[in-house]
Amino acid sequence: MRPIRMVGKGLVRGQAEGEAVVSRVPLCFRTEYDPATGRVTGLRHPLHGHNLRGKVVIIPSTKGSCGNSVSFGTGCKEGNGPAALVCVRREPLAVLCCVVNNVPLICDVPEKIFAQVATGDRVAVDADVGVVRITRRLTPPAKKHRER
Amino acid sequence: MRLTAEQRGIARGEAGPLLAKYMNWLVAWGAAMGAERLVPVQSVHAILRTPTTRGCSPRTVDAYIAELRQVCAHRFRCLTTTQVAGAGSNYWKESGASPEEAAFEDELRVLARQAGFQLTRTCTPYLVGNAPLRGETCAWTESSAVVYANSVLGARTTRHGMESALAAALLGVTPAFGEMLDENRRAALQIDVRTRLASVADYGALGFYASAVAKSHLPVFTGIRRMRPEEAKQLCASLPYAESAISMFHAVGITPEAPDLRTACGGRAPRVREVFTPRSLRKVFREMTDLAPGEQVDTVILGCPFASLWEIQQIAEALGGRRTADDVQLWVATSYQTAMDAERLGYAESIRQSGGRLMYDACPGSAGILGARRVVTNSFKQAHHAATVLGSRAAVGSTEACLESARTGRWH
Repeated sequence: MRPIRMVGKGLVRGQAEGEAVVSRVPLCFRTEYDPATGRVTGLRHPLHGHNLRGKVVIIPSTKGSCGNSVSFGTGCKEGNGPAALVCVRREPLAVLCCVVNNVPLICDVPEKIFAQVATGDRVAVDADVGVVRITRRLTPPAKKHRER
Repeated sequence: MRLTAEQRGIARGEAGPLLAKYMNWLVAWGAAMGAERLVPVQSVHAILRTPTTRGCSPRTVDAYIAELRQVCAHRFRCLTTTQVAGAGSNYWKESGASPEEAAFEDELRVLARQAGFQLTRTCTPYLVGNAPLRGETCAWTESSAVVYANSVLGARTTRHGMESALAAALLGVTPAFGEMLDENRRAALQIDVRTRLASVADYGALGFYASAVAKSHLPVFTGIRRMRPEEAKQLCASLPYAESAISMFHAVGITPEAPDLRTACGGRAPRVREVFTPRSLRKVFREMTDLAPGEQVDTVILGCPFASLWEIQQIAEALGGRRTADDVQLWVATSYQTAMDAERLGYAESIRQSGGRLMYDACPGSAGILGARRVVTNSFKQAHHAATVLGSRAAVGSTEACLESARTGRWH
């Protein structure tokens, strides 16, 4: 039995529900995400081609450029931003992205979240209490989601 | 977070709505990161440039520019230098920038005079006068410069974004968390370098490797006998870009807080140990190379992070007036200040005579460059930008290998 509820620390308050986009590889919103479309454009990133608009993005952390928050904010202004961000680590730029743009953020979720949630699952995020819940699975739990 | 009466007043709006907004952002950001207070900041490296909004609606672009105009109507509280521009000032058309973008970059010069920031437009502020000493509190953007400030200079900054760095410049304070506190400057992961690092690109490869194995550990390198600033620059540029956003490293016997391994680890032994072998070095190059040997190259990019005058001199001398291949564009990116020195000393002219171009205020990888499908560079960070911002294929080699590609039009 796999749990359908994961707990972290809610750092920017708010609730959101949407399709999960999940990657074990950190993402750079400045260089690997296009704010004009919401798509992941980094050719080497496992999420290449995915659109993050309105999605719950689950990643270890942001990485790379200090321009993460500018690009993330531009995406939000264009209506192409994620609905919520869920991270394993507390990276200063991920937190800044969400603080400035009022996007619900949960950090410090256990690493095993990547084995429990797959891209396409529907999840509900409550950042007031730091809980991520799977509301509907895309694939049966027996099928292991693998990247790369 | 504990705030002073004055800070609480600013947050309530007693100094106006803009400062209230930025104070509240700083406090919310700091509290989420576990900071207990705001501390005075001595040096800021801020993002003040046209937005990365190509393809976005005019409303978004206008809102962004209006915000920066409002910010610049206030007086900055400490030394503030600025990040690279949205396009190279001397080659903005080649970057695909619009006349409007170029016009706003011009307006920033006027705003800089009013607000009191130095429009350095560089990713290497430490090469052009913003070079803090050990222990100084900074609020820096530019991922590679953050690592350089923390590790090589011994100054203290976390990874700032545009909003937090502007807040620090406007308010003169920044939340104290992460690498700004002693307990977070201790290494947990030892990376023993058991291979010769022969070129600046090898240092970049070491950074990529460390970023991939470090997770959230702070790395300390052993086995490196000496390091030039240009080599450190490549290491710093790679560390935030592979698998984790590293903001600091130690190198035993080289960086100021690592006289020996134990001290670098806060008086303990490292928790994890990895060995960087000739095989690990080759593996990083292989993973970041999309070009086959002998394949045609159309763009060669040097100067990521921005080239020092010493690097430009070496490039000019290595080219020695010999022409680059007709269908190859050779770019060397640097700051305005360094470019002016290179002009005065004749290095810039020498590079032009060989068919190369010295771009200042931006680099092709961050600003974009037209016609780059197959890129060769000596920087792993630039190769990452090539595969992301430029959407091109890339290969990384030593400076000499890059210049060879510029001359022959082939990747070797």
